[in-house]
Amino acid sequence: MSDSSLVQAVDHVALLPAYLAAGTAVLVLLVDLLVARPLATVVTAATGAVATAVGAAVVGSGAERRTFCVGPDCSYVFGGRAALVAALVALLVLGVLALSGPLLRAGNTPVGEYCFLLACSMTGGVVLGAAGDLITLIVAVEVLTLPLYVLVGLRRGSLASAEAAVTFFVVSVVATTLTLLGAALLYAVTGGLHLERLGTLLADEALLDLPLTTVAVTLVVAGLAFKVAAVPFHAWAPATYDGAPLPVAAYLSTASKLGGVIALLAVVRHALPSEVTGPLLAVVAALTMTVGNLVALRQRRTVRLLAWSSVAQAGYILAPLGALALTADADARTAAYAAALAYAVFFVLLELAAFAGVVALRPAGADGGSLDDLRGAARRHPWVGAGLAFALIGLAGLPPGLAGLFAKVTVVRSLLGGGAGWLALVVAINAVIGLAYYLRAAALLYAPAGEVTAPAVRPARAVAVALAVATVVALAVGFAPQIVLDLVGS
Amino acid sequence: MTGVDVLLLALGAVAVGSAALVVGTRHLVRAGLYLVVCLGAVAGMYLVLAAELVAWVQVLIYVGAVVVLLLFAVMLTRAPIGASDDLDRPGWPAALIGGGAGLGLAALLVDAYRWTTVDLPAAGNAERIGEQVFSNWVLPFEVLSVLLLSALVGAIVLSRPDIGATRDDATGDRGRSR
Amino acid sequence: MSEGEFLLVAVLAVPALGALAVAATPRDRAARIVGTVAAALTLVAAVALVGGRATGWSAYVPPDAAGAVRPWHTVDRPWVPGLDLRFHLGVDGISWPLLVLTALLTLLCCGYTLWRVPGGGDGRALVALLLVVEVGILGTFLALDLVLFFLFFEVVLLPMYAIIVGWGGDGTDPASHDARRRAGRKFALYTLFGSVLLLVGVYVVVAAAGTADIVALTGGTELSRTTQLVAFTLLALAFAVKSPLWPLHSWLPDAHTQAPTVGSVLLAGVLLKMGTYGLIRVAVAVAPEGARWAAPVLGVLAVAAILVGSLVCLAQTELKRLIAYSSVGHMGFVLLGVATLTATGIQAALIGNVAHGIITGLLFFLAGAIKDRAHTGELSELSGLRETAPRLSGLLAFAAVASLGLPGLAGFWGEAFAVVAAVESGGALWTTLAVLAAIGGALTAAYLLRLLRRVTHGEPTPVVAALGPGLAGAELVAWVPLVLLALAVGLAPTLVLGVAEAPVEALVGVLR
Repeated sequence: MSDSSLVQAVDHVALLPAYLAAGTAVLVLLVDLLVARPLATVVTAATGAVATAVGAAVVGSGAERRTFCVGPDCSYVFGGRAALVAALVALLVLGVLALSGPLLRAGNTPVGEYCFLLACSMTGGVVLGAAGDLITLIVAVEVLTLPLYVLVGLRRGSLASAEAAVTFFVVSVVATTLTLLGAALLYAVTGGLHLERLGTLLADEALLDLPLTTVAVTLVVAGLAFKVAAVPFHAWAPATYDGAPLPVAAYLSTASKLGGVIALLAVVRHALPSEVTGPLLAVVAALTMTVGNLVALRQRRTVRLLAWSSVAQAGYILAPLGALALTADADARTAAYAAALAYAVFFVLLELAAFAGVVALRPAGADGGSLDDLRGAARRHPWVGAGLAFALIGLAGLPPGLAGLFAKVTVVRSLLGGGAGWLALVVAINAVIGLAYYLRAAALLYAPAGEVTAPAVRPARAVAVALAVATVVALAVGFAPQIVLDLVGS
Repeated sequence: MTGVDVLLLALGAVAVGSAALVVGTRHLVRAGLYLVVCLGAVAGMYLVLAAELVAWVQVLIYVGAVVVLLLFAVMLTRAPIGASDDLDRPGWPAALIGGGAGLGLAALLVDAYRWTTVDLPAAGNAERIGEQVFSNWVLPFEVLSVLLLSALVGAIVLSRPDIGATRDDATGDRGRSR
Repeated sequence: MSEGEFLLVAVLAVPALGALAVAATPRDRAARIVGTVAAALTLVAAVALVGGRATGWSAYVPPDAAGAVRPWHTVDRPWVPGLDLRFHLGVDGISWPLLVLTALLTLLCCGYTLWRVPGGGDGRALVALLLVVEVGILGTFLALDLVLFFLFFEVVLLPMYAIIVGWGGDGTDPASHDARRRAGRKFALYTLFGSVLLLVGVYVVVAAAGTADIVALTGGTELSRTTQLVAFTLLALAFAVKSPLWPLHSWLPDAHTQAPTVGSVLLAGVLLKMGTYGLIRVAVAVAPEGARWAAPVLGVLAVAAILVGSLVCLAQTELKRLIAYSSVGHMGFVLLGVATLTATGIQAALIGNVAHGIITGLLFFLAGAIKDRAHTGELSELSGLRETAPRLSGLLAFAAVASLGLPGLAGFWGEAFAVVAAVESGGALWTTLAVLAAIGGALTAAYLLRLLRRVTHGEPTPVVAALGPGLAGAELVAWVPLVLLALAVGLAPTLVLGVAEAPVEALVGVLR
């Protein structure tokens, strides 16, 4: 292919997962229009999500595929890690669809549009994992989040929902602006947009010493930190989670957060100089987990508790990246990236299970309610209660939630391997603070019901299945964490 | 200092000045019209820098579509035409942040480039941009289409509270028209 | 898989599967029986581990290995290579007595629940949780991999919390519910604080040495001095919370007081031993340089614990709280033994561990029985017990006398030899510590005799007057083994010291 040619060879196999995801979106719209049965629409979306996950797994099991290349730099790199992200996002969409059963059946939500927007968001997630340049990356992040502005606002007649949507929208747009400005300044400094090319260009000392480079890097990282709700860019998360419909909150705290983490990982790993990002991310991580945990201690509403706790968890995810600046050793660096991703994988599993538990224990279409609404819930619904308690304990990082325990172990190991002992201690202390509120929530499930009589709800079957599957998978990776470690290391 | 420099400086002054007026004026409609001037000046700068297509896109989309949409919105919501006092918020924090960010960025860029001379590339006409977009950058371009589609559907869903609201039976009669 | 490997795995698998079986058994009483059977089988397996010892010496240790840890049996399988975690178990003379003690106390507790389930929850769940706690404790004693050790250390935390909160306190009134929730949370948070420090410490060692194998790490030859100091500080802090060492002990009285009888027995009997065992097996063994550096501090804190524990006990007015605080003092003697870093001291620590487990287990059983009958633990309301319940008060007297370290009973050896070891260490500091510890021993006698005077003598109060003299058969079954063991270990300390001598000598050998 010569440079002047307008036609370039596109590797359609590599693009298959993205095609499947985008095709799902279009198909959902068509099925909604032509068949006009909510069930058919949901089944189409679910099938599409499964197909996307399978497609990603199949394509990812082969060798790494690159396409849309300019010279050696490619905009789309579909390797094992991209496949993991794509499959995970697709499966999370599937889980969220299952959680949405009661909400959609309650009848106030347009089923077709709901599924369509979820599928669009999934497309963003699939492309994001494979994005090889800053433009594709930012566009993919936007595709992942933009449908969520609408989904957050879908609780009709709820002022909180509308407020949540507007807050989320405004904050997110500002964040994107920051990232774009940062990317533009980076382009101004280096003249490159592909992540790997940026990485090689920024290795140059002269460029690195420029204040403009530092500002550009800071802006890019700050904008993406908004998306993962890291302190000090976290204030939107609790209000947004609490106002959104429960399944959407679940999506926000799993797939959307995962997207932010992946974007951050991509730029930090390939493009940005770790001398600048390392200390920045170390401070952000330490602040994030501490603030998130301390504020979560005071929460009385279930979803706000989960929201603040997920702020804290973002801190644990970012922590390994904080060790980057201190190590010149390539192995330790790879281990740090893998640790961050591994923690994110363990976390989204447990978080999805936790949200599934909350959805199962709440009436159809209701919001998260206050913690007291969950009092004694495990005595009324032993299995659902046990699943929720297991997820909470896993998030706290204790046995029997071995998945969460190994997640923490992975992070601490990478921090000590990278020479950031102080950050490991901060993680350790925060794990103790975290236990305080997770334990309170979990103990509340088993407390005597008292005078508060929550309505006895029979959990919807789809929600129960989602909870069961998430719990079983979390149990399985708890006993064989090597599976996850191998996947993120590939 | 060449003529191009002078032109750029003048356009920049117009852009900054009219931008200050946009936020400073108490007349909603005038704010919209100052915005036209500001965006037009920016388009002029693009033209001077030989980015034809971007300049025309700026005029078409921002000056043409966005501002007109804004003015329509002002008219449709029956906002007051005259001076409205409630537009007059305490301006110091905003001025501080805006001025700080602008000056800071300017200082950074000046520091980075000093007196470096950069040759202008070939004119940024439709052909060159199209070539770039449809060869190297076709992936984000295509992904953007998904973004726009979802934005479209989302806007419809949000603005039409009746969609989905009447669907209380799951059997399929939707009670709405498309 | 050889016989030894099978037994090692069985010691963990039987209670684990037992817990699952208990949870799956629909009927409450049947479930409790299943649990007791599982606990009994575990005890059999734990005792049988000693059997392969004769062959074990030659069969499992390569002749050229001069390692300080020579397990009788080992199992070594990879589990999570990405985290340096191997499923590496082994048993030797240091861990075996504690294993048997754990299995025995769990069996007694499970058997006790056959007869009486504390109010608050169903007995099935309680037995299942007891078995899970047992898995955690046994796993901690068996683990020969640092990360695995940490893992089992953590397993104990939540089940024990659930036991305290679910079945603890007195009856079901809301005030007591709050009190036991507070106690449970304090226990959980303190202990987790300890175990996260353990986690950091473990990976400090693993990152520096590149292996988590305790057998390979013992002696600390490959670690730099700085690493050893950091690692020992972190590990010692972690174990100090668990043991507990003054001033990190404040979770203990609340937890012990609020926990149900079986919970207190396990807590005091074996849970605390995880701390001292960890100190010997992990902290001292992996970072001897750090241990030598920190030994004086450890010794001073241990003696402070002895004195503070005894003085606080003198002022206690509640039975269970008094026994709980007495644990602080007794564990102080154990830690003093470890701090001397001599063979005598570590032997004293080991036998002190076992003796404290037996005696305090018995004391908590008795205190629970008294509280169940009289519905109060206030010493002022319990006087005259000898008049109405002579057998109970007799047993209490026996346990108290054993606890204060009367020669001929189990408590004597640990305390006496800890002091002897401190004297032998020489120097002004250690001699002073020995003298202070001896004074602490006298204070221990003082508060236990005060306890006896308050409880057994005097006019019966109305509460005590209403008590019957009889003891239930189940109670006797639970207590008699402990009484016999207290006598046996007291008369023939070689039961423990015999098996522990060789490994302790080997350990001290690499410390020098």
